Amino acid sequence: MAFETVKVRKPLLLRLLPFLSVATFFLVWEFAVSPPGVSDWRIPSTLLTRPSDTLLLAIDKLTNVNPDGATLGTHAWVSMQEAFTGYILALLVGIPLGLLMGWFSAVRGLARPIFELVRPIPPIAWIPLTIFWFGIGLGGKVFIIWISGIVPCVINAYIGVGMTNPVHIQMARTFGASDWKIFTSICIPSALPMVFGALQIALAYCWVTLVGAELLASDQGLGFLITMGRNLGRTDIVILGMVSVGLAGAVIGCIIDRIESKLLAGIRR
Amino acid sequence: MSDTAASVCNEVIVRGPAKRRITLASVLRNEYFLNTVSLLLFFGLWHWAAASRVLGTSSALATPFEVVVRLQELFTSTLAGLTMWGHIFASLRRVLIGFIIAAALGVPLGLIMALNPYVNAVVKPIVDIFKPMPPLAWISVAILWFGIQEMPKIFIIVIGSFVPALLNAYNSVLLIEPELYDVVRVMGGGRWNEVKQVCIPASLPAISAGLQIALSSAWGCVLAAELVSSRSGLGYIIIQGMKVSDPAMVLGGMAVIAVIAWLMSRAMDALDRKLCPWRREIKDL
Amino acid sequence: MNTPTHAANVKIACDAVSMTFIQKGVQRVPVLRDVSMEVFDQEFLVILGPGQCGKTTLLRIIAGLETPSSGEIRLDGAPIDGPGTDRGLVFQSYMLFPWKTVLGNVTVGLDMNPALTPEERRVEAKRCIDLVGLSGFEKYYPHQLSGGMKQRVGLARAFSMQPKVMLMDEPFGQLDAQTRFFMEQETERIWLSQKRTTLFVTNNIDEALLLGDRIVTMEGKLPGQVKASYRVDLPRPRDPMDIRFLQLRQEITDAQELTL
Repeated sequence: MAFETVKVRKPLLLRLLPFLSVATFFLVWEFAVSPPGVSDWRIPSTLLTRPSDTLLLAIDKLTNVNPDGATLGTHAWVSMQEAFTGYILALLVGIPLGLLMGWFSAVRGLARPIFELVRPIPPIAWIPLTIFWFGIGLGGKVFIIWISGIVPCVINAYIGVGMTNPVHIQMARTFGASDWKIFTSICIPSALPMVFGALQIALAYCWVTLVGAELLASDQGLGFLITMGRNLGRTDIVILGMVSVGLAGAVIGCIIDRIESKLLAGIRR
Repeated sequence: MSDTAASVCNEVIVRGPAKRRITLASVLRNEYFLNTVSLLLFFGLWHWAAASRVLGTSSALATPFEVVVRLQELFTSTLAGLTMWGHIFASLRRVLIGFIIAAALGVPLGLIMALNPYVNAVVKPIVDIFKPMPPLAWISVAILWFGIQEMPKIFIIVIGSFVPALLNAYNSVLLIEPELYDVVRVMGGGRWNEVKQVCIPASLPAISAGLQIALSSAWGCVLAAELVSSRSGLGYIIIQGMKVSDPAMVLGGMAVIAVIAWLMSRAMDALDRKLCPWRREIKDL
Repeated sequence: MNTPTHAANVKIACDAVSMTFIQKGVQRVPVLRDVSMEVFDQEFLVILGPGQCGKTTLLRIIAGLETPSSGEIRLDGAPIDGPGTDRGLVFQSYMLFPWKTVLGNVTVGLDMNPALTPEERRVEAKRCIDLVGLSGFEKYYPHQLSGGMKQRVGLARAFSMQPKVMLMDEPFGQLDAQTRFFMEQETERIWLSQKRTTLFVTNNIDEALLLGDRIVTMEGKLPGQVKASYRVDLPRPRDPMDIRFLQLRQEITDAQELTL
């Protein structure tokens, strides 16, 4: 049916407020903090840095390796490498494991107790042990990120298989399908939406843990930049590190969001 | 399997459940048996790996027995002036203070944002700016601002549990079936009754789920804060274990951390059942 | 097709009501066009029409939950402006509060009336629960009840406000055939005991003929328009196998140009 088309818009104030709000936030931040080297009634620059100074520092750090030993690009690249290696490994191990645990009682019986033992430990608590095992190189950080990413992968894949419509399984049984055939042609497709949900959750977990892992033991990376800034007493570097981590996290989140909605659109007709 | 009924003419024959025969295959499929095997394998491998030093030096891993012995020592003797109980108490105190502050701020703010589009238009963009920033990234700034005492740790915990508490409360209100408000409206209830009779009870389950996430996030945050700088707490125990190359202490600390995390999630489940008794039979996952 | 017009007896008057929804923020969908009809005092009026014909929207406008794009609705001569306790609404999908017991659900409306003492609220709720035959189930939560019992709670909740008019939106649409027939008999029993003006929306012709004093049919497509009005002069309780029942059924079915 063809209907007349109209455009309904939100009130002007409601559309403007978000921009005003963000602008006010940055303006207050800018003017409530003293410029470097100046001490007046405002928040001293040893506690907080103005957004403009942070931006200037960011531009400078694109090429300057001092005082922390690497450019901003290098730090970001190292962090991404660690996060994505851990993330991909978590997906590769966690999703198949969760799927198998959901359908085959033997896998469930063997894997579940160990999973339940390890699950309550926050990934951060693995740091000391991983330093024993891997030192402070890439391996240890990847291991911690892997641990934090694998938990949502297993849980979502497991629940996804559990949510398979039992009628579909019974239907397949009446056709004489084998357990393996039912698993691959019914359970896995049914679990896909939950699995895609895990892609996003796991990445968020990985990114949070990355910062924790780098805070403690590393020589490069955005988390290291933050720690180094604190050790050097350079608040501007700390703030730059935080902003970079947040920004990179937001960008990665957006990309995964896009991918997920594309993939899901493919599944749901 | 279950009872089988076959109808012959008008006669109904009911057979009892078939007797279970114990065969090799049935034992291998029994989950309790498999669970036992799994745990035995896990601890066996752990013991073997630690005893045979496959990971290299003697400080890489301790056997389960060493961990138990070390834990007993930690509970009876003191480390940095506190027994294990003292360290547990120190960590729990920080978590609870931070968690309660975050919940008391985040849940009402989330509800107000969902109910008032103007508040939402102002606050949501700011929340969205801070949301992708991992709570642990705040540790350095917190230390610069508040020194190394209790404040920075509680600050990190508040940051870490505030966002899940707020977002769950916010989303739960948006997901309420709009017709439920009509029920209140047709019976003459105004805006306040819509909030009191529908919004708050309908969003309680999701708020409670959000608080559960917030609490587990808070537990991770307190450990991270204690790892970075502290003289007490479970995070201090495991980092101290690392510094003195004592894997038994690290693993013992991790075990206590896991047990407390598990107990906290049990406690939140119990609270959830208390708050939302109507879901007793619905939720089972 | 005889519509007596005693102006004094008119309870609800719909006067050229039109309604246009804006769907997904961009599409203008006409739902009702120039609907004019009356509901008389103490009458059981059934609005009969297939799905998607605007009958639920009409009921929601009368309940005051939606504002018509044009036209006016009067209750006892006064224009309707927003929801009020003089109209009780029973929802198709029950809309019980899952966090409240049967008693709590029935008391929802009473709790919002500050003039009542807690004791009065309890007595009134109990009376409504008894009326719909749910005594003994006061402490049950909705998820512990069957569909028929849930809708009994919905009825009791609407009755608790002592409305002048009962508005029922396909209340038994989700029930199985047997429960539905039983609930129809219960509705008739309660209506006969109180003679409260009732406006009942359904897509089921047998339900319409069993319950209605009068049946108003609507067009089977959007925008919804009133098509015809039938008086059902059959003694209650009605027998679905009665020859006059079947004749009237045939007449309405033929006029609707579809087999209901």
